[in-house]
Amino acid sequence: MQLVPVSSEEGYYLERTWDELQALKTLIIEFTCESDFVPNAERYEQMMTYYVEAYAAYHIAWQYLLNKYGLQESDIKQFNFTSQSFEIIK
Amino acid sequence: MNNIQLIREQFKRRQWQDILPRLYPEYNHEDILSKNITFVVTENCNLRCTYCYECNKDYHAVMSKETAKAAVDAILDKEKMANYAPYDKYPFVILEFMGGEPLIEIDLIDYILSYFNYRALELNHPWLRHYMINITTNGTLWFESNVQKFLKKYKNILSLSITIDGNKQLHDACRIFPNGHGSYDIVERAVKDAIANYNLRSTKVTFAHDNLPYISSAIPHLFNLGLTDINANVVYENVWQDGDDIIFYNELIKLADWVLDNEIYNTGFISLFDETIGQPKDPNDVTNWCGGNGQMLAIGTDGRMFPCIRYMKYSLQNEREEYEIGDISRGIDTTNKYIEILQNIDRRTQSTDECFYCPVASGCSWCQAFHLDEFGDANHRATYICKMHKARVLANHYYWNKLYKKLNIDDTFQLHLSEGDIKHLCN
Repeated sequence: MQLVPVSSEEGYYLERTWDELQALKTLIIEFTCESDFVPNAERYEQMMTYYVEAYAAYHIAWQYLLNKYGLQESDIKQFNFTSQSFEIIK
Repeated sequence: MNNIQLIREQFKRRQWQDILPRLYPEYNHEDILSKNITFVVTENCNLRCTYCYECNKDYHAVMSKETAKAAVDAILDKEKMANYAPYDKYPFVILEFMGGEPLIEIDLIDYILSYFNYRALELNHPWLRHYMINITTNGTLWFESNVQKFLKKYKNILSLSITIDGNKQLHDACRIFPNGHGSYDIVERAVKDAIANYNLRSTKVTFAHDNLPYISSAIPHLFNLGLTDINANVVYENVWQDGDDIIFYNELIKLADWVLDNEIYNTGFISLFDETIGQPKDPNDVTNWCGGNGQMLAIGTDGRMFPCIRYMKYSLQNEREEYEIGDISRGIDTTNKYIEILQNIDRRTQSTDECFYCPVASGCSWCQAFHLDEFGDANHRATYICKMHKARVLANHYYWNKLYKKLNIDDTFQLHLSEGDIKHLCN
């Protein structure tokens, strides 16, 4: 498998945005499905805002790295956080 | 990254909390950034493992929903956590769910997490987006519909471990149902499902006198199942017999050869092989190895708080006093004598000079609550594992130097064992 490594700062930043997005995604699942607790409208809106912000932060980081390393979305199998590399589809 | 850098990076990121300082460079790297908070949701268990340390379980003890809600309110309340677990000191939190067998109370765990999210959102709490869930299970309830529903909901922020003791023979010798039947078959199915669908990578294996001769067969079996991270350790208890260190050393050498021959080091992790162990420690470094002196918080089924589940009655074997440090209604009792005792314990206070200045001190581990249980004094270090640690150090010397040579790495694992220790183990 071909790997395209990024710098450690870039890798860590992408991982950070990914982690935060996962936490907020879980929150969305929690409160848009059946739940024992229902946030009020203000909190619900706040949650959606946080999610959109986290989603945007992750995708900005992702696109920045694709552009910097000259990669196409369709070329990529996944980003490996341990090796801090894009795994490229042959 | 070259091979050795990748191997070292894999070591550094075994657990979520290990990577946090690098993901969040704005925090002080010297500080511990995450607090580990354990909810004991039930003391009930559907297995009767022969070696279980939770020897005084009350099989009827279950956390009520009211207690669970109050516990969440308490941990999110800076005043109630006082200096012990305030979110401004610990911007990240690991919510751990323990039993007994925690999956027996999967609906309660789901309820706790729903309320945690609800309250954290209401309070705009920093832990809302900075938390991880940790569950260690025996795997026997894995295919229950409510368990599967829970796993799908939380899989992105869930760190799972299913306990499996090597192969069927080893597992079924100890991990049995009340009727005496082994649990291996269902646990193996659970492990395979968890690997395929929930990114399960790790398990924890504990070795004692009886299963020591099976290390070199048990761990490869776990890799064959598809697991890649094996956290293994030997018990701290006074169970070691003459010659056990030699058996341990020889088993580790066989395991090292298997890892090297099959290039397991590229993708796998076995905690028994650690490049940082077996070195002298800086006398100025008095950091406690165990987190049970104030880095963790455990909440019992009745809402009482402890520094770790091992200080609770259900884990203590010798009728010692529990180290209760508060409860969910009052919060942490800052004037509590146990907190003071634990906060004054470090590597220096509990170690003899022989241990403190030991030339192979790094990586030698201990459990603070075991000290309390064994000696009636948490500040008294047990040394039963000393000879086992030395055997591990010598095996690591073999493993790492062979690996460096294989990868053409200009490095050496320095050996600080005495000639007498080396001769004893090699003979």
